[in-house]
Amino acid sequence: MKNKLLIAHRWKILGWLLAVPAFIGGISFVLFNFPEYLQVTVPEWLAHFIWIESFVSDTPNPTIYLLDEVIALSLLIGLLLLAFSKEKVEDEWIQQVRLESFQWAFLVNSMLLIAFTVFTHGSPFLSVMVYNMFTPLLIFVARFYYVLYLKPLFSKN
Amino acid sequence: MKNTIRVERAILNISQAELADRVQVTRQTINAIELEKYAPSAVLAMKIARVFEKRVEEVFVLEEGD
Repeated sequence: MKNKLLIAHRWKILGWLLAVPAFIGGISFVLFNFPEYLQVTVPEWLAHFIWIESFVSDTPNPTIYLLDEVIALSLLIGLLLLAFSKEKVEDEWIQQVRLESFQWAFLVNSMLLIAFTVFTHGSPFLSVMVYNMFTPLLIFVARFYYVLYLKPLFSKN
Repeated sequence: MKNTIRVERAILNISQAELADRVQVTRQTINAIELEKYAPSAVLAMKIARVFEKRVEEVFVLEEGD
């Protein structure tokens, strides 16, 4: 069974190198109350294209901070590489675990979203949406690697 | 589906890892099949039976409800 959507095993290293620091960075970013680093002044002509005017300010040269973008992109790309790179030996059982983990991630994420939609109102819901950017891939990666590498350790025969 | 892989392995005195190597899958896959958590494809079942020099039906047996 060939899976054309998967990329080579070697991308996994880059995936870990991006995802782990970005995950820690993301948590720190929230804990330290959204510090403002990597300040960039957006040129006027660009500001019209990247949809920041209405959010940030209507001055001609808005200032934005890129740290959160760097963390978010590293986490998303890192998790994607982890999710879509092949295992060293990508056999049929691993393919099944992969498929099941995607189903799991979709289901758990939807259930979380339903729960948070019911119990979260007003502006905190924006935080839910931000976390929700990462939860499908996070749940997938956690479940996939748990079944592949951790679960066999608990059921030693 | 039941299987006799563990017994057959004991007869040949080979580990899960060795069997995995011979049929080109991971050790975890052999483990999942032995624990009957995963039913292998027809191709893999035939490869495993070939290692033991048995017919597929001798290694893999259908259960009630399969």
